[in-house]
Amino acid sequence: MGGDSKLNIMQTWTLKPGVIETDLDDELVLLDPKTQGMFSLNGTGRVIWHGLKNAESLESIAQKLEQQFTVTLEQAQTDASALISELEKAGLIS
Amino acid sequence: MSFSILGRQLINSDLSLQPWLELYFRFPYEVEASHYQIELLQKSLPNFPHQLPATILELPDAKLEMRHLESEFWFGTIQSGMRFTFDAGISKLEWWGKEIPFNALFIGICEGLRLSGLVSLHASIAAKNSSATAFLGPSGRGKTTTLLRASIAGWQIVAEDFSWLMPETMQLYGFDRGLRLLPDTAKLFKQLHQDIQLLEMIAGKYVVPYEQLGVQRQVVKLERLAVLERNPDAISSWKALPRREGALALWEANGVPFTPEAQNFISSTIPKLLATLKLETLVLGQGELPLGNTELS
Repeated sequence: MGGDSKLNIMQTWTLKPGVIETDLDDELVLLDPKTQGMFSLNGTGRVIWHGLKNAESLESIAQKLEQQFTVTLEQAQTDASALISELEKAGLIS
Repeated sequence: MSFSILGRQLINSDLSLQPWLELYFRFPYEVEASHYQIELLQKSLPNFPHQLPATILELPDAKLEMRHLESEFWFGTIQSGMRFTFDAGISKLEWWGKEIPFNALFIGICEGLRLSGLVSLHASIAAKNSSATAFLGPSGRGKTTTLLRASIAGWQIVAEDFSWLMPETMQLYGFDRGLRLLPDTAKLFKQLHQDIQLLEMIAGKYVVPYEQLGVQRQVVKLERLAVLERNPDAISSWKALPRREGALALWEANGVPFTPEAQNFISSTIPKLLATLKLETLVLGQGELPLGNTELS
């Protein structure tokens, strides 16, 4: 994932109301019923999404990724930033 | 006046509504009775919540306002509308107006059926040896044409447009009464059935009742999803469908329920369906559709 390292690490996000989750075990599918837009998350993405749902900051989410996957904190922040930017572009969070 | 919809009891207090209810929801399937009730009540003018913001639902032939206040869902306007509420084991549809709010009532009854544990499918369904395939895709993708081609290849027609699925048993029940053919599809139909006159046209489609075609109503087991993909550059073929595409197709085919409870039910049921069903894409491309040798293993 190409990262967007300009996000504030203390920032939190709000989920778009009405987004539907379908849990397929190995991936979590997000569906925006208004646009029919679909977004598929792998294991890392699932951790990031649940962090966003709990209004956790980028820093907190990255720490969880560091704990659960074999990545450095810096890499975790880069990966989380990239996905968060994609979710913002898709209108699923703001 | 009441009757069973796949074991769920539909209770109606208004005589003028009965013919429409029977047309769309009364089908002679023998299903074990459940305790679930869907109750329709005609009311005088309600205390309509004008102050709430309305969501506009885009229906195939109309727009419908929906307002939401806690566990109450209001459809339509003060002139003609319906209030939907639900509790354990029951959905209540209170409606009003000189004009019967048919669209709102249809949406409400379908929501009640979902809350009772059923999944709806806007799809064409064909079966071989009681094993059914649901052909899925947005309007205009070729579902009805594929159904006709499957019929030519020896499959039985189960439903052209709408059916209900019991997820515990995967039994599928057709809930429409005939083919509705766009003029293009009608040309193919005429090649098949030169003896049948296409006369009645509703909303730009020719209507051919199943009785006229000799289609026997049957309960089938759903075993495959086939998402239709148009690709004029490719050879017509089957290919594997990623599960996430299957999830999207099932959401599109069921529609997104308006109550969070029904959304949660469908959301938790779709992964189970995807784990059970054979998932394929049917490429509508060059050459004959590969419908002749598609026995499910």
